[in-house]
Amino acid sequence: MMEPLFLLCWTGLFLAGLFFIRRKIVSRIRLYLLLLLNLIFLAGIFYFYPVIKGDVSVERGCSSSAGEAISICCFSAGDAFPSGGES
Amino acid sequence: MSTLNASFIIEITRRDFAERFAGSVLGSLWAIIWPLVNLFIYIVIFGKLMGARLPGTSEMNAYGIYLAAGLIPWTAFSSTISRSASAFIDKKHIITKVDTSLPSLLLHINLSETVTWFISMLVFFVILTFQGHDFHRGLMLLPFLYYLQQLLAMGIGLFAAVLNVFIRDVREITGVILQLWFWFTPIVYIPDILPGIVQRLMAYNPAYIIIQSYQRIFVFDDYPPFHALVLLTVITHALLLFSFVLFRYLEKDIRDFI
Repeated sequence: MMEPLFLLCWTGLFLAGLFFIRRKIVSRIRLYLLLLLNLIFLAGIFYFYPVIKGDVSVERGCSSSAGEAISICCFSAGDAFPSGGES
Repeated sequence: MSTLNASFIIEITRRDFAERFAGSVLGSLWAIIWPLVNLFIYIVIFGKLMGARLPGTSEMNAYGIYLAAGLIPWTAFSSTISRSASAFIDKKHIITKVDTSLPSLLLHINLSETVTWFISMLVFFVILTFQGHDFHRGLMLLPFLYYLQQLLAMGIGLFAAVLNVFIRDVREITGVILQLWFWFTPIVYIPDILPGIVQRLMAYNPAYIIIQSYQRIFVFDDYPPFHALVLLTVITHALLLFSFVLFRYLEKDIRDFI
């Protein structure tokens, strides 16, 4: 129940931000603000979704904290690929 | 600089879609027939007739679903990039006559590919439902995955479109790179068959992170690799920013060249 609620609220916040930037911000910096808002929106979803879900077991082959996100570069594609079709 | 005009983007998207099936008897129905035929090939021909199996799975259709889950997003991603690469040249009759924002020409390609992706996904869902497939909760992330994928395609497409105005070979080079990229990404094969060094390199392949996310949701009933997606989001926006800065720097020259 929490997951769709989080996605809806987060998207709602993003759309409100989008509306505000489009209406109130001058065009010179609008594009850069939109890019920043987009970045926060998507990165926020992929960062907070496992937290909201409350399950860290999905992060097979990846680092367990976002602070170590860069370490995903060290895992091999084979490790990340769930062979055998198990969930 | 001209501002983005929503009604203009929607209008050229509608025309783009109509022109694709102009003159045909079935018209827009082809937009449904094509994905149906493609999914039939993936699931029935590869999965059932050729008996292709995913290692470790006993499910008959697993390979077909694996193929479809990879090929549907790849088609949208690669078509957006290849069409964007020549967007400024192809639409020069509009650019020279109408005072329009050049990025809106890329947005209409994105929108047009989104319609195609949406129809393909719809057909895919219907087939999976008829087969009694259990959908995973990670499915809720599908729109966001697609959004990220198309942002990345737009960043690459804008970069290629700017270069293509000055160096016409860029269009062909983009096609070659996309072809190599397709075979370097585990879409029709599984990554386990790759040598260890290539598997490690695969972590740097942004297309693989996206395709793998789709495959995890549809085939392996799993969530996408979240931290890889966070990193990809940052890289995508850095690329978009770079492309827009380059575009703004060269916009006047682009209009003069065209």
